[in-house]
Amino acid sequence: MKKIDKIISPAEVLETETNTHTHTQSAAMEGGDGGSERARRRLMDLIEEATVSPAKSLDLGLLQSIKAMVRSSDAHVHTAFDALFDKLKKNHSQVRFLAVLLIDELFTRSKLFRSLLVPKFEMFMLLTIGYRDDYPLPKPPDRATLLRTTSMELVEKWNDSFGVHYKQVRLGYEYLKKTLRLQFPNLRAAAALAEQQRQEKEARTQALIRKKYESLCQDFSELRVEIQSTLNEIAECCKILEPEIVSAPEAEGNELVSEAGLESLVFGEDDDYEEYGDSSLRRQLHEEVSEELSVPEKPKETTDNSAVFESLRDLYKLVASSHLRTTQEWLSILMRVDTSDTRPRDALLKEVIDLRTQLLGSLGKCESLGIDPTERASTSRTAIDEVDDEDIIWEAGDAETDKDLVDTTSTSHPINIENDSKMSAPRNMDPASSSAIIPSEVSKKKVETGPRADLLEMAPVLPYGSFLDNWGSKSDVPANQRGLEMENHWGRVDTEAMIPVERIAEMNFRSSFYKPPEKEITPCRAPLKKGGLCPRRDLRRCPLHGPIIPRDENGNPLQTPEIDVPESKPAEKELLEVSMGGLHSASSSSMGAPSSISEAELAMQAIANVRERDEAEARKKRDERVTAKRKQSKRDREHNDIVLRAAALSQSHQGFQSSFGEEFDDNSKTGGGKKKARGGLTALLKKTPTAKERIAQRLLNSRVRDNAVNELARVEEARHRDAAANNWS
Amino acid sequence: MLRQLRRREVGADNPRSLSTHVRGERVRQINLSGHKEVVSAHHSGINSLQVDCTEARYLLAGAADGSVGVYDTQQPTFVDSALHVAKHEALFTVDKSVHLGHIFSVSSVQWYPVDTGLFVTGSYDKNINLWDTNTHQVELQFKMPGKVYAIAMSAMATTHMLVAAGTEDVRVRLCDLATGACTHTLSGHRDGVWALQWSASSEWILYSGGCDGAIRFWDIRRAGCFQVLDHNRSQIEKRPSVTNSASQRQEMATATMGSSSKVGSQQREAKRAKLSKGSLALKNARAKESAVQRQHPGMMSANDRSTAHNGSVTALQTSDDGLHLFSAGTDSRVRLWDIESGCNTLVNYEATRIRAHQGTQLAVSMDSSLLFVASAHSVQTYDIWSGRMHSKLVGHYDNVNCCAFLPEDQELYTGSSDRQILVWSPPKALPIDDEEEVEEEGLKTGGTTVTADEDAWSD
Repeated sequence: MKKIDKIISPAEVLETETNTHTHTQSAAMEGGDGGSERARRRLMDLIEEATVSPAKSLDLGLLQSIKAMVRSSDAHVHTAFDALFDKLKKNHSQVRFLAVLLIDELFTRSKLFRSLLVPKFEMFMLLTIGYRDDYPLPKPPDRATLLRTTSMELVEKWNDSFGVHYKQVRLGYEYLKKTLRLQFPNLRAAAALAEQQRQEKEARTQALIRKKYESLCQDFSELRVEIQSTLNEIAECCKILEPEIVSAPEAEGNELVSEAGLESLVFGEDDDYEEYGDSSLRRQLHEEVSEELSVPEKPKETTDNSAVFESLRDLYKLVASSHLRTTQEWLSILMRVDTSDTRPRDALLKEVIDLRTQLLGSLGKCESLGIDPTERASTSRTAIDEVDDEDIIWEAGDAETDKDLVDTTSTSHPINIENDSKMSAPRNMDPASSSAIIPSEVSKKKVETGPRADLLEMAPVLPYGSFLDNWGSKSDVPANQRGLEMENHWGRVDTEAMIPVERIAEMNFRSSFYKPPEKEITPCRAPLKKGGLCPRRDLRRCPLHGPIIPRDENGNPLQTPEIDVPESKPAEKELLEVSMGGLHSASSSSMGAPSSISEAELAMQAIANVRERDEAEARKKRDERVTAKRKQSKRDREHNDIVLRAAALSQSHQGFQSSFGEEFDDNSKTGGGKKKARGGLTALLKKTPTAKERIAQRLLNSRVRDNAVNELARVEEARHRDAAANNWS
Repeated sequence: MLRQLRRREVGADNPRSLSTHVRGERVRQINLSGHKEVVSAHHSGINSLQVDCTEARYLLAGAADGSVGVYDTQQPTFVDSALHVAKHEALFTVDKSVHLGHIFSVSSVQWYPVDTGLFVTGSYDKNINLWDTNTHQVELQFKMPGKVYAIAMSAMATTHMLVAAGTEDVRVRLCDLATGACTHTLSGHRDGVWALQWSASSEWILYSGGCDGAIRFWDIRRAGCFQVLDHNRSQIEKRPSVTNSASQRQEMATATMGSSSKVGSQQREAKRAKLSKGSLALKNARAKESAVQRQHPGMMSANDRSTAHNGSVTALQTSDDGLHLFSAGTDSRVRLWDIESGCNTLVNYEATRIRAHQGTQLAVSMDSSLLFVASAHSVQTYDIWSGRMHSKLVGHYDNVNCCAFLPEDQELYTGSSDRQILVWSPPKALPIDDEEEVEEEGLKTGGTTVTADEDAWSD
C-alpha cells in the first residue's frame, strides 16, 4: 500500500483509498440503489484506472481498494468480472496484461469470480494466450509476449490449484499442453525438482560434516595440545620481549593479556590510570594515549632479540594461517552438524571457542609487539634493511593493501607496487575509470606529490609480464639461477657465470605499439515502435533516426533538434580548421608573443567575424537585388504603359474615326489634351476588357490560386514533417 | 419426487411415466461430468462416436489419425484418487499398424447392430473395413470410388445385412456384409453424400443427405428415391381441389340419402348414373394422382431439384419413434421433418453454428425431448418441439464433430477436433460427509497443494 506509483501520486492513492472505503461503507449501510450504483461506477473507474498504466505490475493501492470493494458484495464481483472481461477484449496487449493480473488476483480469492470466469474460459484463453491464428494478440509485440507468458503461467497455476474443482480449467490446460503442444513453464515440476536437488545437496553436505565431526572428535585432543604448545611458545616469546618495553608488573599481567587481546593489553600497560575517572572517559583517554604511546613503545628489533622476533613472527604466521583457520573450520562444522546427542558437541564447541579466543588474544599481543599483520605473507628471506625504505613510503597505503591481501605480490615485491602505481598513474588522468576500478590507488595518488608525481605522469603503461620479476634490479643475475650442476656435451659449463646488468636490460628491452584510445560509440537510442530503444551505434548519424543526439532514458531528445545544425557544422569546422591553421601560422610567425587567449576562443572569434562579414555581404546583395527588381518592375510598368497607351490609342482611333473623323486625331496629338485623354482612355479600357482577355485573366487567376494552394500545402506538410519527426506512437 | 413415488406405488400413475419423468429431469441437468472421464487414446480429433446397440455400453470412436478405439463406459479403468474421477481408457485401439488398417482419417464408425463382435469403419482412404472386435483384425474390406464420408447400418434389419456408404461419389452404395459385395447403387444425389440414416420403422427405408443440400428417401426394394425433402414445403400440398371436394360432398350426401330413404328406382337409376359419373370423375382424378405418385419422382425435375438445406446436409437423425427426422446443414440450420408427409415442420432451432467440413452427428435423448447439436466449440441442447435452446455445453476447445447419447445413464459423449472425448452427465448425488471424506483423503494422498474451492480473501 505504501508503494508509490509513478503515475499516481501517493496523496491521490490515499485519497482514492479513503474514498473507496467510505463508498463501500456507505453502500453497505444504505443498501439503496443510488449508493450501490455509485459504488458500481466507482469500481468500474478503479478498474479502468488500474488497467491503463504502462507499468508491468499493478498499482498496489488500486489493487487493494479494488479487492476491498469486490469483497464487500457479490454484485461487485459481477461488475468487476464484466469490466475486466471488457478490458480483455480491448485491442491492446498492455491493457489485457494488466486485466489478466487483476483477474488472477480475484480468481484466486473469490469463488463467485471463478464460477463466472470458468464458463468463459475458452474465450479467456483465446484473448490472453492467443493460441489461434485467427485471434492473434494485439500490439505492441513485447507486451503481447509478456501477456502470453504470464497468462500461461497463470493457467498452469490455476490448473494446479483449482483444476480439481473446475474441469474446464483442467481441460483447457490439457488442450493447450497436449493438443496444441504449447510449452508451459511447468513451475510446479521445476520447483519440486529444485527442492529435491536442494535436499540431496543438504544430505550430502550433512554427511560430509558428520564425517568431519567424527574425525574431529577423535583428533581434537592431539590438535589442542599442538595449538596449546604454540600458544605457550608465543607467550614465552612475549615474556622475553616484554621486559624491554614495560616494567616488571606489566610483564606479570601478561598471562591475562594473552587472553583478552589488544584492548585489555592497553589496560594492563597503563595500570597507573586505573585509580580515577569514570570508565568510559578513561577508556577514551586510554585509546588516545595508547595511540600516542604504542608506537614509540614498540620494542626495537636489535641483533640481540632478532632471533626471538624471528620465531615470534613464525609463530604468528603459523597461528594466523593454520591454527585460526582450523578453529574456524571446527566452529563451522560444530555449528552446522546436527547429531542426536548434543552434549559432547556443546562441550567441544565451548572448548573450540575458548581456544579461538586464546589464539586471537595471542595474535593481538603479537601485533602489539610490532609484528605487523601485513607481514603475514612476507617470506623470511625478505631482508630487514630492504623492507624499511619501502615500508615508510607505503605506510599510508598499507591499510588498503591489507584488505586485498590476495595480491601477495604487492607486499612481497614492493618494487612492483611502485611499478603498478606507475602504470596506474597515467590511467589516473581519466579519474572516473580509475576510481571505479581501483579505489585504493586514488588514495595513493593523493599521497604522491612533488617530482614523483610528475615522473609517474610521464611513465609509460606496460602490460603485466614475467619481466616485472626483476624490474629495476641493478645487480647481475647468475646464468644458472637454480644452482643445478649441469653437464654439457659441448664442453665445460661455467656455473659461476653472471649475466651483466646491461645485458639483462638489453634482453628486457620491450617494444610497444601505439593503440588508439578506444572511443565508445554511443547508441542511437531513438525510441522504436515496438518498444525499446534503437541499439544502432553510428558515429554521427543513424540511418533510421537521423543525427545522433543526447536522449533521456525514454529516448526523447534532451533538446529540440535544430535542423540547420548539421548543415552548418561542417562549414564551421572547416572555418575552425582554417582559422586554426591561420592561427598556427600566426603563432609560428610570432612565437614570442604570449597567447593569453586560447586557440579555441580565437577560432570562435574568427568564425564570428567571418560570419558577420558574410551576413553583411548577404544583406548588401539582397539590397542590390531588391533595388534591381524594383528597377526592373518600374521599367516593365513603363513599358506596359506605353504599350497599353499605344493599343488604346489605336483602338480609340479606329473607334472614334468613324464618329469624329480626323478631329480626335488632331486632338490627341495636341499636348494639353493628351493627358486628359489618356486618363479617360485607361479608365475606359479597364471598364470594358474583351471576352478573350477576361478568360485569360480568369485562367491566370486560377493558375495562380492553384499554385498558391499547392505552395501552402507543401509548406504545411514540411512543417508537419518537422513537428512529427520525433512523434512516436 | 416422493409424491410421484407414492402415486406410482398406489398405481395412480402409469409405471412408465415416473421413469420418463425422472429421466427427463436428469437429462435436463446434464453437464460436464465431474466423476467420469474418457481418456482419449487418439492423437487427433475425434470424427465419429457410436454406442453399441445391444448393451449400450461400449463406445466406438473413430479419429482423424486413422485410429479407432473402443471404450467401456461402465467399468472404469482406474479411479484417480486425487481428483476422484473415474477414468475410462480405451479397451483397445486399431490403427494403421494393423494389416489393412485405415491410413487416413476415419470418418464414420458403426457397430454391427446384432452384437458387439463386429464393427464397420469408413475412412478417407476410400475403404470400408469390417473389423473383428476380438481379434482386432480386418475381416472384410470394401473399396469405394472416393473418400467415405458416412456409413450406416439398419438397427432393425432382420432380412438384410447392408452397410450404406456415402462417399465423394454421387451414388450411395449398399454393401452386403454377407457376400462382401456391393449390391445396390442408389443414384440421385448431385454431390457427395455426408449423412446416411436408416429408418427406425422400416428396414428397407434409407435416408441420405448430400452436399447438394438434398435429403432423399430411398426404398431399397425399388429403384430410385421416392421422396426428396423440400424445406419450402411445410404442409400437405395435395389438397383436393375445390370442385372435387364439392362433388365428393355431393356424393356423400346422396349416399346417405340413398341409404336412409327409399326413393323411386328411376330416381335411383338416374342418381346412380349421376353418381357413377361422379365416381368416374373421381376415379379419373385418383388415377391421375396415382400416376403422378407412381411416376418416378426423380423424373419430375421440379421436385427432384428441391433442397432441404442451403448447403450440405451434415447430419441426419431419426427420432426414437421413427416419425420424425432431424437434419443439420452447413447453412447453420437444424430442421425437423415429418417423415410420413415429407414436410418441414418449421421448428426454428435458434442460434446454431454448424461449421462442418464433413459429416457430423446429432443426438436425441431417449424420450425425444432434447436434441443435442454440435455447434462450433460447444454442444447445444434444444427442446425438440419448441426449438428453444435449453443449455449450452461448453468444454471443448475446438469444433465438436460428433455426439452419442447413452439413454440408460442419460449420458452424452462428445468428440471434438481437440482430440478429447468428453462425458456429459447429470450431476452425481453424493452423500455430503462421504464427499468431504473423499476430499480429505485426496488431499492427503495426493500430497499436492490442492486448495479447497472456497473464497480466500487474505486481505
